[in-house]
Amino acid sequence: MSRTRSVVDRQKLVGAWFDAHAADLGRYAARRVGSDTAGDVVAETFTIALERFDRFDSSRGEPRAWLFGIATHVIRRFHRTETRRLQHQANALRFEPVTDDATARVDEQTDAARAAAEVLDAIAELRIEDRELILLSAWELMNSQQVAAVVGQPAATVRTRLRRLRWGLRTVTTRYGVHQWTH
Amino acid sequence: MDALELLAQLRPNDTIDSDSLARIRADVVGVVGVVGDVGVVDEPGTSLADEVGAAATPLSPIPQPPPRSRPTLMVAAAAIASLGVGGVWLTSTATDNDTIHSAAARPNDPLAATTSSTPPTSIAQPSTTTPAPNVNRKPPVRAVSEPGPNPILVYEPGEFDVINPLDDYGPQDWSQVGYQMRDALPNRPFPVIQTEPIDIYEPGTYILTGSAPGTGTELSGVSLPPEVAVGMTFSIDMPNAVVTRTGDTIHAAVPLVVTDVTWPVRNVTAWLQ
Repeated sequence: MSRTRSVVDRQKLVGAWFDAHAADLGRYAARRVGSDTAGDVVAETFTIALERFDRFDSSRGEPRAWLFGIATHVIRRFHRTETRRLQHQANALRFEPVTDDATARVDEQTDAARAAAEVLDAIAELRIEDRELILLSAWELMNSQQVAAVVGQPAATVRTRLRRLRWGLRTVTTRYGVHQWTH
Repeated sequence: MDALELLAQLRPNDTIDSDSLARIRADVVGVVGVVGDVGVVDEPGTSLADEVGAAATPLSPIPQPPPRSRPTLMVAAAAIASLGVGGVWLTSTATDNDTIHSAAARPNDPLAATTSSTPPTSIAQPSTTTPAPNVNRKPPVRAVSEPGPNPILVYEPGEFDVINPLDDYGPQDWSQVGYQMRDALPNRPFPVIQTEPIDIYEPGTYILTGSAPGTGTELSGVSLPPEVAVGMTFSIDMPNAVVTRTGDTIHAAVPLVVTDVTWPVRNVTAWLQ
């Protein structure tokens, strides 16, 4: 069912969406492209949401999923920034001083840090579509149905893709025998 | 602990401060579209209170799309229309030989009716003056691949990055479209062929190539992702499409003639049927 509503009401509704979700979207964007760029992502996300409000289809998901989908698209513009960021994060882990004095513990931490760095490097090398799935799942703590609503794919497809990606990344952790990692 | 769990523990703590959010809210929601705009818009059918309420709740399980029904041509058309904002399903046909230079579209081909089911797009019709495809032509390379199993395009500063602002729901799973197409055409031996990805940055003729096991030789149509439909003006040069067969493998090459590019698109794969 569809009916008409004034543009002012539309703005009020999107404003309410902003109040409800902008902080989460901002954190999502900041985690992926950094705090400096996150503001641009949020601003553009809601600009697009306003412009394309009439295309929001509640039967396909909640406003939150729609907004995350838009933000995910916007973030693609900054994929270079994100790649560099992941690589820097990986390098920081590699050169992070180990503070534990116990030798065995130091080795364990070093292996864990290397594994973590390699995981980040691997994520940086993924196709942007795959990276999105991984990060929505690992960092935004979305389940496959929620990720599916964001990326516009069937949940079964998302599950399959995530399973394949996890399988592809398994060598990183098994190489270092990482069983637990505390940062 | 697998990589995903490890990655979860590496989640950055970056955030955006409330002052910045307040400024954005004022700039975007508080200004855009207000001045002098007294029009009305179509919008979703739930009430304002309902939608705000829903918006304030955490993500809950999302209703899944209805399961695929039995294959019909309408299913394929509807699937393409619903899965992609501007998905294009172009049809034509080819003669039944091991090597085929496809013929012009059959006006009475029922598949052709699916074309009208797709959203309107600015598709340039193949012109008689269209140059023959140059298979040696490559898209202009303004990007380089980084080492690794999955090359990542790297753009020069100031260059565009690809985004499809019309596709708000994110990238579509075109393999599903392929399945839909295959389901919808159960009696056609021609396989669904996914073409190799190409990057389209500027007008020109690009060759969509792909192979798949199969015994059929009738190329009936090409499905392109919505990013192409909304981002550029193009036509499929079916008369110069080529289908060859080696053993049980079919190889297809279809010229894509791009006459105008509004939004460059990378990793374009088409589905041939």
